[in-house]
Amino acid sequence: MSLFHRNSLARRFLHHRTALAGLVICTCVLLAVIVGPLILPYGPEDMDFMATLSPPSMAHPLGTDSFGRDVLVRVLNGGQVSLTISFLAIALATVVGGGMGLAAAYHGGWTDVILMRFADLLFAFPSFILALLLMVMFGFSTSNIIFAIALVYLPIFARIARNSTLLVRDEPFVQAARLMGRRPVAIMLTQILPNISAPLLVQASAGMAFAIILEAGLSFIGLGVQPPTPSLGGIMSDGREYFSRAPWVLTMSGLAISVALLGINLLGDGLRDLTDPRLRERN
Amino acid sequence: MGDLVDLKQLRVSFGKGEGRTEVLKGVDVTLSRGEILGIIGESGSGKTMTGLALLRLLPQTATVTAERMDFEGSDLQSMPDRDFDELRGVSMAMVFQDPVGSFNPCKTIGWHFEHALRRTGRTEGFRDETVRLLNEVGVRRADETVSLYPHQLSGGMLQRALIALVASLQPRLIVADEPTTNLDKIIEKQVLDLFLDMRRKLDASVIFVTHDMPVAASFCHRIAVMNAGEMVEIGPTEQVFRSPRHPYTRRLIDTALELAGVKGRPKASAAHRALLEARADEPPLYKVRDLSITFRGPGKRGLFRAIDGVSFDVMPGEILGILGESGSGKTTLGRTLLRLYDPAEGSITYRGRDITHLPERRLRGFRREMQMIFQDPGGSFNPRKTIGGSLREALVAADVPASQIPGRITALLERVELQALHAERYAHEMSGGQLQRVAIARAIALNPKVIVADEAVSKLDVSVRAGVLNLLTDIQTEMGLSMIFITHDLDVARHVCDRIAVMYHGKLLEIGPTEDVFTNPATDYTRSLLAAHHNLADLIGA
Repeated sequence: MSLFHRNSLARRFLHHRTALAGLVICTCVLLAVIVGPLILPYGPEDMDFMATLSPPSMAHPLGTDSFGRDVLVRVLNGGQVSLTISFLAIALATVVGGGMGLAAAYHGGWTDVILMRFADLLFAFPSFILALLLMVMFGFSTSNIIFAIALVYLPIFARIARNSTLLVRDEPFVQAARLMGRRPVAIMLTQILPNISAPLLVQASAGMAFAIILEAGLSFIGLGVQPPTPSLGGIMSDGREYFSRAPWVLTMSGLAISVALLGINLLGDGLRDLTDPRLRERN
Repeated sequence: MGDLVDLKQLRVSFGKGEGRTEVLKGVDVTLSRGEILGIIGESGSGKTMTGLALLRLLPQTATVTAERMDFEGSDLQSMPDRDFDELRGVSMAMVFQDPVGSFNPCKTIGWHFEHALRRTGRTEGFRDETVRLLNEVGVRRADETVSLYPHQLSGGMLQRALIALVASLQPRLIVADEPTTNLDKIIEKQVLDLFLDMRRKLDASVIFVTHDMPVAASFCHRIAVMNAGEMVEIGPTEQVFRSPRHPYTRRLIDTALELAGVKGRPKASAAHRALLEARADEPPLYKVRDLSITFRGPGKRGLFRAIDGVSFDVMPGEILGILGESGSGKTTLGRTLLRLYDPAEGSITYRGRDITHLPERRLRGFRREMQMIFQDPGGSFNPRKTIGGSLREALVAADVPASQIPGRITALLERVELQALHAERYAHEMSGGQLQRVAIARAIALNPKVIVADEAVSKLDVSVRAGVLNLLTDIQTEMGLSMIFITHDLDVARHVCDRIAVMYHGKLLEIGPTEDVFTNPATDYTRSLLAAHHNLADLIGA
């Protein structure tokens, strides 16, 4: 019955310190990347050749880069791009992977074999290598980064959905729905999905963190978001070149990634604790 | 005081402050040497807690207080944990309901015995002693069993091994918590005999926690009846069963007696007779011929035949009982009739139409003519939906116009003796008996021609069992549908069924009118099943 509780998750959430801290950090990060670019006086691509590589000051709180662009503005804009890409990628992976796992477990037999062996195939590659390969195959564009990251994380969601479905599939209420003559798709969506959504959502929140790292990594080596569009990986890559002269570019963009990851990981851990009955006793 | 155990005003509560719930509200128990005390009661009555509190096995969130808690004259409450550990598992032992969970699955049977025997001070000759103990409880090939792992033994053998393990400690008190509930009737009798044997040899006392009243009546010296954390009655077995003092005890016994057939059987009702006669000339609803079902065996080693060459008919309007122990294939058979499983061989004809291998797509058109009531009331409903939502789903499937649905939901709930307000509830907010009523409502919402009831009352408490059974049979007669009633309970089978089919290891041993099967069984297996059965009415001479 582990997947089935429905008591006030929201209330327990607010009493769980890890989850709450994660939520606060994530909210701050989201507010900063959405509101920040709107109120700051520079655009991400505004260059000021009079003030290249200037250290942090009142005018430029995090300094400027080699083109005189404001690092704070670029980090916030880059954060917006990175977060959007990661979110869309994970959403795609959750929907497609979850659907695959659900269908595989519900139908069993050949459907199961084909879908899950495909997932295993994707899983067999190290995630970064696979993402690199996919980017080279698809070509560089923002939408292709989303597809590449989604494909890399798809097997995780497929497996989680499959395992959870196997637990629920033979429950009497699913059999009862079959006996009402309902279609398999309707049974999967109305009977099974609500009961397996908790582990999928927890994995999705944790997956966001991995997606951000992957996106940053791809952009860092120049296979991700193409300049001049800012992205966290791209800014770090620029900053590396003149790290000895202007350490703030690399440090501040790296710090921004760390803060976002910290928030997402705390939130993910908290959600996992709250939805896992084996861990729930302890807090 | 020569009492082995003396408990006075034992209270157990969970939680603190406002969330505090008291599960034992002042229980007094005394137990003398060599006595068997049965604690009976329904789920949630606190019967298990008494034993657990005595053995200090309650979780840490529990608070235990008692005016007196003595074992062999020494006070247990003030005893430090270290001393208590010396006592528990040597002088006091516990036999749990689930023998599988009582063994460490990574260790052999012999390992468990070695550890138990070490505690009694023995330092060598473990294997010989283990073999001797296993032989004593009737484990076959004890010599091999010592080096086997728990999963390689059947439930019955494992429970025997567990009892041998307890016997090796030579305890003076054994707390047995539903030790036979998971066992088949024939094995249950053997295990109970083992307890009697052990009591005689060790002069041990037994606290026997059970919900099965015939077992308690045949086995215990004294009976304590628990209800909602209170011990409502305690006395000699004869007195409690023949002239119970408390109305709750009276009600429990009456229900058990009703199921045991003292007050006549619903199947003998005039309306049901008329239904059977009126429809006697109709062709059979189901014709099952040489049906076999196979599952892939463990580790892909060959095929396991769950059903092996079964043939029978189901007549319109009849209640056909399928009787068998766990693993006999009775549930598989029921589900295959509804084509939830695919048959391997043979044929199933439903209303003149061969449905043996009909694909799911073509079955969908008449699936709702065949409904099922499941054993587990908790799992029968989507936990994310309200009861009303689940019924709505069934009514939508039955093509009821949307405007009529709310009214129909209320009518259905009232038909199964619930109220309209129950529609707002979620499954976990209702009791097992209520859920089973809703399951009946959901089945009849679809206007079925046949209902398969798979152990529909075996997870329910005794006091609500008769109510649900009577509802089921009333509705069966009223709607004139056929019912396939799957059960392991002889009393229940005799209570409701017109005909009985006895299943054993996937084979259909015999099929015939209920009274014929009960009074003149055709096979040895049925005879031994009947012999192992305790009928409460016979036991207490009511």
